[in-house]
Amino acid sequence: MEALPPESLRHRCDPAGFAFASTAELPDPAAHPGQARALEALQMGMRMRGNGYNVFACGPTGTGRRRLIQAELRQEATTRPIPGDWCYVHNFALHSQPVALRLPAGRGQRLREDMRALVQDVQTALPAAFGREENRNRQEEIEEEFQERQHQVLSEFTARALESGILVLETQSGFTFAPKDEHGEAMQPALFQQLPEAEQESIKARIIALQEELQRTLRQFPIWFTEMRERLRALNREIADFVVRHLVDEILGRYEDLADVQAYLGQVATDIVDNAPVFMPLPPQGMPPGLLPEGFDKAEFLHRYAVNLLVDNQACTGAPVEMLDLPSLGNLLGRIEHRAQMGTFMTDFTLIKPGALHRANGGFLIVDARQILMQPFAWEAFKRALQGREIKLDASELQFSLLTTVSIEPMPIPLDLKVVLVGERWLLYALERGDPEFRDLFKIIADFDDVVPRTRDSEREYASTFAHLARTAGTRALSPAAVAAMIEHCSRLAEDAQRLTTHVHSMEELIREADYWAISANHDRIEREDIQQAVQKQQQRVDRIREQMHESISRGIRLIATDGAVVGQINGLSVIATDSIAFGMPTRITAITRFGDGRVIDIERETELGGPTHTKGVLILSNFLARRYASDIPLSLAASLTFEQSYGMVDGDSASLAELCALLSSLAEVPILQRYAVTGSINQQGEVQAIGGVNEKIEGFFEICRTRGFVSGQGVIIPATNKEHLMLREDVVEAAASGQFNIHAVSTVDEAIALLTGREPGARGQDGRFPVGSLNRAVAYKLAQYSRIRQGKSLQAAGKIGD
Amino acid sequence: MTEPALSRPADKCRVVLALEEAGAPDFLFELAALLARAQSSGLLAQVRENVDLGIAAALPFVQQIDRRSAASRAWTPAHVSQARARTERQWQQRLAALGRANLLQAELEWVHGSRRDFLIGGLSSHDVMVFGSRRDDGQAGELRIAAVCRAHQVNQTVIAAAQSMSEAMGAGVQVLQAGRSDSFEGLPPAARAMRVEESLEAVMAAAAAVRARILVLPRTLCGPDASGAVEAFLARPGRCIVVMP
Repeated sequence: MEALPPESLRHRCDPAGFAFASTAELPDPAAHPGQARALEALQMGMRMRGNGYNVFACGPTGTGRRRLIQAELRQEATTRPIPGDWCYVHNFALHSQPVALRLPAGRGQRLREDMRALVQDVQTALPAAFGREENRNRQEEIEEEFQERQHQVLSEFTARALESGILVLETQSGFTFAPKDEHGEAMQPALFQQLPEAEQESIKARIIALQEELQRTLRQFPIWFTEMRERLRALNREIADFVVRHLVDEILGRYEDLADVQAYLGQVATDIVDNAPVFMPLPPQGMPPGLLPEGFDKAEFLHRYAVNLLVDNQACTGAPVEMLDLPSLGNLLGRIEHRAQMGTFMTDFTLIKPGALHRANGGFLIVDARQILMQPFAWEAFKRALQGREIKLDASELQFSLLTTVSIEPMPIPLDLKVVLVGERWLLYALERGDPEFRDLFKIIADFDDVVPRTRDSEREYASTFAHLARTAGTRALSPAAVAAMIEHCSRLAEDAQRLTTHVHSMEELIREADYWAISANHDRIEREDIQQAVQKQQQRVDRIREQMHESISRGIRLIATDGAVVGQINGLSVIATDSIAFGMPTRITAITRFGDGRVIDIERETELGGPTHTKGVLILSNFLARRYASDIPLSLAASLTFEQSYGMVDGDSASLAELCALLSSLAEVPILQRYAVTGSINQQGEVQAIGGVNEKIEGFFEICRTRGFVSGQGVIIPATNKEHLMLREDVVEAAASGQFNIHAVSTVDEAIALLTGREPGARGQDGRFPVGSLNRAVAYKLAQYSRIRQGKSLQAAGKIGD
Repeated sequence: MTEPALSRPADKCRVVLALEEAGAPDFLFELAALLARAQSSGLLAQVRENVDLGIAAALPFVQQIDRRSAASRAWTPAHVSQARARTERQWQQRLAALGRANLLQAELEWVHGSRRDFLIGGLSSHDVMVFGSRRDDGQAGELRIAAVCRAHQVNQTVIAAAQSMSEAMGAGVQVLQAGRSDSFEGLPPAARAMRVEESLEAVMAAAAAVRARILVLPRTLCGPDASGAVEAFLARPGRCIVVMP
């Protein structure tokens, strides 16, 4: 079988096909290539009316999904109306439930300023009104009336007492009485004693009667005092009401179209009138002293007239587009902050802080799916908000707090927005499977491709994308050859010569690093060699593990033969991948066969080092053996397969072709040429199927062969269906061109075994037998032998024949 | 009547604060201290001991009726002594504090006699006399001062209005120091003047018309027949009369 021609090993991009001298001449791409399906879904989600038409944008990270989504949403947002402002204000009826007010964009700030000015004006106007002479006179009249009433009553009482011969004397804390002598002075006790007993009794009775009368009189005073207070209060209220209504009316005119704001301003006016003493330097006379308790904090009190402008859309030119990097509960729904006061955490409506839902309300919100699922309480609260279509701040976090807090329950704010949840596909599947509410809330799936077909058109679009990336990254422009190298690299990242990766971040990184090398090489533009050097250096930086493993092979610690021929031994190929690097490694696979009960032992599985897919591959090859070679006899084979010197997990079925070939070699006792390495999976018909990581696998064996020095005919056998995935390194292609290293593409097990053994496998003839001297005949013969042994043993066990 | 304790040169005035044993509003002390400080003179507080209280206490059936609660309590000589001791202690402390704050010498003495004796009695014509109601009226609002000036034979009542006690007293001191009607600069804007007949009754009527609470009078107006009008003015709480020498 001929090796693949060198030009089929790497799908080159011809720079001559580009009609520009550098990417500086290219405009930004009109759209991101290859994402039409996702963008259509996104646009539908944005424009669909009805609850739940939110979008889950899925696809691998690094493909520029967010940037693309953000750009799309921003464009759509310009066509949408600017949503209103939202304010929280004090609830005068129920302090613990602040009221939410919605105003047209920009008028929230106006209301806040109006309220600030109102409080200042009231603080000036009220004292001035109470200090006005006519008002003072009215207050004094009421007070003097009260004093006069007391004075009059006490004067009349004193006069009546005097008429009855009794003096009323004032003490430090009250009144007392003494009989009057003939000079009008208090009667000396000795003189009193000289009076006739009847007169003494008379005086005593008069004094006792006066005492009782005075008590009755004095008990009236608090009642009169209360009356006076009430009259003063009514007067003060009348004065305050006049002043405050006048001031509030000025503001009300600006909010005639907003009934809620008007109602709020009406409540403000009433509250200011009720609390007029607060606005006075000293409380007006007549105000109950208990109204302003000791330690009363005026600034704290005036807080209630503040306006907490939660969302200010004044500067918006369309609907908002909010992107939330850390979707914690607080960042999402907003939070109620607290401040320490006397050992307790207190709060009020001014401490309500907006979340992304508030800011995005009326527009679009982009949230990272993985992040929101990782944040405590966030996902459930987020769903509640979307389901209920309102933002309701609750104190979820406080349920787990040991702190003493006084909290509030703000009025919910109606929610009307589109959410784009961005995540990887597995997250989408996990949510669909695990959260029954998910699909009700995210009815639109925007599936972003990680690869796009590679055509001349898409190559040109990518050239524009590179131009855009270079511009935004501030690097040099790329030459056509550099663009071609980039496109080839994109194909390599896509692991497909006919595809291009959409991983924009990788492209951007490569352009930045190529720019670095272009500077070092004094290039005006980024050239092809700069791209190649950037790729090489990227790999070199993360190459330590690969180097160590290859060194262990070169030093003979890890046994890999690249020459000669051995029965039941073959070079398989595996890919070792970390987050930053993937490379191929040859692995020795050995097979041992003997008589047995038809079981192929997968040592990897037996030792629990084999994954399910690998086990599946081994079972398939067992069935292939049975079907092809022992369809009419019992398969009496005992075989074992193992990856030599493999101590980690092995999974995947890409070694099943190599394992089958090793088995066949063992059964036929035909040696396998060790200059080959093999990769590919097989099905039960013996067809070879495509595998992943074909480029890395080929390059892995290539490295070993090159290190040891090429010997004639070395190469790798791959599935024919992997041919279009080939995007091999330049040095591999060069080695293939010079005949030092060959790539063979096979479609069947027979093609593979023929290459590996140099023996014709042979096809069954009309008689149902394989040709004499063919490998397959040797295999069939060995299995028939085993079968006969088995049949003999069965008869022996049954006592039908002797030993 | 005992001799005043505060010795002084014959030609230098004192401020004499006439206090009733039954009580005196705080602002009287402050006003007297301000006057004394303005004149760089001493302050003598004379408490008129009301002997009738002791007489009443000797009668076993006499009770004291509390002004605020209207409750009746026993009224005995022991109660009288305790009340006097308490009053003396409080006022001594008050005067000591005012003396320290205003850098003046302040003394307290108990005297016998009627209020009339104070007003008309044999005190030096150089002394400034301060009389007050027995009780405060509990109001913290505006005070008004009615001052009768007599310089250049111009009889004029000046009403100085002020929003607070300290402001009113400051204004009162200015009125007293100015001594003439055309030099009241610095008074609050509400200050105004009116001509009145040179009689105490006319002055009292003018003061009542504007609801003045502090009345400043020249001694010449306080003749032997003045005590009735003075008593009537002071019968209401929160009132004060300053008699200038």
